[in-house]
Amino acid sequence: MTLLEIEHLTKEFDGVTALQDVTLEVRAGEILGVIGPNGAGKTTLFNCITGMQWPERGAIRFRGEPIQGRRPHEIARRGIARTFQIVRPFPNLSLTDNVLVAHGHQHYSHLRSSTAAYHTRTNLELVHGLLERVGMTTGHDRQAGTLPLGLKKRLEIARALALNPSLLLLDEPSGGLRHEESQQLLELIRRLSQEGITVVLIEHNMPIVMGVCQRLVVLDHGIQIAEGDPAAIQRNPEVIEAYLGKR
Amino acid sequence: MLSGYLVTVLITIGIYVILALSLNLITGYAGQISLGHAAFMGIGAYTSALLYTKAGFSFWPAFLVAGLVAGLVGAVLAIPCLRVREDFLAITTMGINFVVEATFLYVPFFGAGMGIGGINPPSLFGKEISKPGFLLLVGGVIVVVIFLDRWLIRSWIGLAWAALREDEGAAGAMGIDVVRFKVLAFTLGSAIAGLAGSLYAHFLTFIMPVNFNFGQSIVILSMVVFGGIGTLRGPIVGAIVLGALPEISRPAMEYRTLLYGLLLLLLMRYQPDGILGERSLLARGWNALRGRVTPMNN
Repeated sequence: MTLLEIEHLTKEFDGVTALQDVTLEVRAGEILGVIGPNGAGKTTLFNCITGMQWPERGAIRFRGEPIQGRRPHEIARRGIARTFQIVRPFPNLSLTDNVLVAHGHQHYSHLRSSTAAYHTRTNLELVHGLLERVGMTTGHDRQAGTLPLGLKKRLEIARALALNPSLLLLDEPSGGLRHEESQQLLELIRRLSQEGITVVLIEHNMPIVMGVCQRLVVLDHGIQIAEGDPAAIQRNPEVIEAYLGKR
Repeated sequence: MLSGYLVTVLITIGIYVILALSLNLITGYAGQISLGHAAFMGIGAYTSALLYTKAGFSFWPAFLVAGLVAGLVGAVLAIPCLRVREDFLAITTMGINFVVEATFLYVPFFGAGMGIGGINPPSLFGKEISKPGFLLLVGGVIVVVIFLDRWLIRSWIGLAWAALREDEGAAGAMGIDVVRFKVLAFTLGSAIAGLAGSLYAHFLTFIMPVNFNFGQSIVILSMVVFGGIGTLRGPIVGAIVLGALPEISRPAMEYRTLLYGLLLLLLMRYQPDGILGERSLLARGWNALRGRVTPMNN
């Protein structure tokens, strides 16, 4: 079953084409890797899916319904959650409150429920559970800005999970992490996938990509140059050329 | 008994406390800088004054309508503010202040440069309330605003504002309707400023455009920043200290704008969280005394 369909997506910035006629689909339950050299348009793709940037042309359908032109909060509430390449936790809020912000997505649209107190026992238990699920068992009252990078990335995943997403977009989750941290992350992504969350992963770390992704899409200069299973992609001459240049 | 002079000073300070608390909703909690808050105080004051002097309203309904009108105008004027952030927002709100002041100044309906006089203090059971009675009224409004403030900040609305203040883009990606919560902050903050403006008009009994100019906005912002932006105690203490200062010292009155400007500069450089903010020297010292550690960052 197709969860997300992208058709002929084009996004331009002041005449520079960041994405050109990209067509791809994300199947329910899979872990799809999006790879490509720097500036290939990977993050722009995420920004278009999540409504943070609006494409010039093309269609994006989630569960069969068009979502292009919708604003970020509407898309988030439909069940598409993301993390950021350059981490963006709310730095002066505690870990608990960071996750609570996302957990509140079901309350923000109704005046009555948005005036309810949020530090309730049920909410706190749920949030602590999410933090533990990403491996953060202590220090939930710390300010997020004081965390080391690896933990900030985990926090972003916990925050995304609080949206109760069916599609999780991870933008270079292993960037800047040490080897063992990357390994733990790999485990976490596998576990989330087993729990039924569909994952799209932008990643530069090839061992992670090859280890966890079932299918890969390769972008170069905004154009999709290849698509297929990891082994085939590794042998694809066009992909090798995009990464290493022409021989 | 309190002397008449002291009561007058306390009422003025009390009105500033309401104004500082209302600006704190917009700038402190929701993180939307406003350099034009006096405009909404003015809209409340003029609404109340016009309803009272021209439409035959008594104080109480005029007071409520003043809050309503200021809130509605705040909601409408929030729209041009939605597309701009930080320094551009500061300039936009400053512009709003100039436009509103100019409207009072040049439109004859608003009394133009002569302002509006003959606004009487409120009456209760057919009798005009005394000055101490007016002070009680102001105190009552402060208490209600504090309760509202606490309630909002413990609710999902308060959390959404905090997220907005921290990172607008990330807040949107977490399901927060950025537009809705910005407009809500501007509406509520402006409405409360309108109530304060109405109290101000019926206390002074005479209002002029200059009472609601850019300088007045800076005075209110200084109070919020001085005490500690984004806290409840900060704007209250800021309004009390900076409101009392011109009464205690005559030079402070004459050089008020200079003094407050200088104060803002020094605070931004040495105590950006104000004297009572979470990371201020005083708050850290207090927490250290109580054996609590406040993390240092930024």
